[in-house]
Amino acid sequence: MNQLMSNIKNIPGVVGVVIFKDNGGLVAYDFPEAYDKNLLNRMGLKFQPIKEILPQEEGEIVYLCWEYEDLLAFYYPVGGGWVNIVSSDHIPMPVFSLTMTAVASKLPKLLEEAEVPQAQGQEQPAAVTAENTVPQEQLEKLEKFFATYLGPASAVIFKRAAHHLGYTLNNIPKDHLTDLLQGVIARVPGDKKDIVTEKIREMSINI
Amino acid sequence: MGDPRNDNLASLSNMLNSLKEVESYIITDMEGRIHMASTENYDENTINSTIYLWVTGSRFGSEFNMGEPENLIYYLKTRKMLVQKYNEYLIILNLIDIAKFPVFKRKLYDLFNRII
Repeated sequence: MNQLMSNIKNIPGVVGVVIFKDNGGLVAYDFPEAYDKNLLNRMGLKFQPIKEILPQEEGEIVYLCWEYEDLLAFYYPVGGGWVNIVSSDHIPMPVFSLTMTAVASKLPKLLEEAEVPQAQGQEQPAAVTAENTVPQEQLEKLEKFFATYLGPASAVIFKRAAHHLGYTLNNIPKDHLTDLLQGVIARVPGDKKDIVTEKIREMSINI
Repeated sequence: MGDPRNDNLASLSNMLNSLKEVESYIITDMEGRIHMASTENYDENTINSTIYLWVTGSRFGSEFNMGEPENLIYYLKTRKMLVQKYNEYLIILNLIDIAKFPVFKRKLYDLFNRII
């Protein structure tokens, strides 16, 4: 694992590397000290649903790359996990591609063997624990309720409102339910908005 | 008088149509409302996942002090996509297989500069 990390870190322009398992567990990292482990753990939780949300018919991702003012952030999926890399925008892409192809062939076996220890005193952020997320039955009930006003698009609108908040419908925290519903209500035709809001309140949901 | 934003989108759309690397495109806002599209065969899931990826990139940029993303390269084994922020819109561009991202981005930014 260390050898692979070092191979990536040695690509000119690479600032930091972090490797995660498919479940969002942090396996290894080499980031400047200013970025602490809790920040990297939170990063894992945000990127973890990507494989799940991409439509099957889209095919496999080679990589995703967000371009900022002078930095790039890569998401590179491999079997069993993924690698996040932050680099300067002058990274030599042929070197990057060759290195990552080699990494992708070796990393799955290492990820399979890797144990992800829960650091002492480190709590999993509340957003992902089952008791803190909105139960699926409640979401299904709400989707059905909104279908009366939004038609068959209700499910898509729900999903989109969750994505707009940076979550999926599987991990939306209970304390974000109001934000989710406000996003959905915004799509209800104007003359029905008040009725919908009132009915939601009758379900004992603060809105 | 028409909404100047619509004129702007019309100019943008004309310019996107002139780029040979562009197979199709969708112009959407951050809530996923489609403002213009070169095709009717778009997939709602593509728009949904694009918004998720954009929000993820924005949060990542904010937590790591990198600012807002300017664009997102969405490189799949079956196709190449570029998601470009343009004012309050996201332009989801499906590119032809032989398109080179750096060359295409330069062309795109040149076009943006020509839109008044």
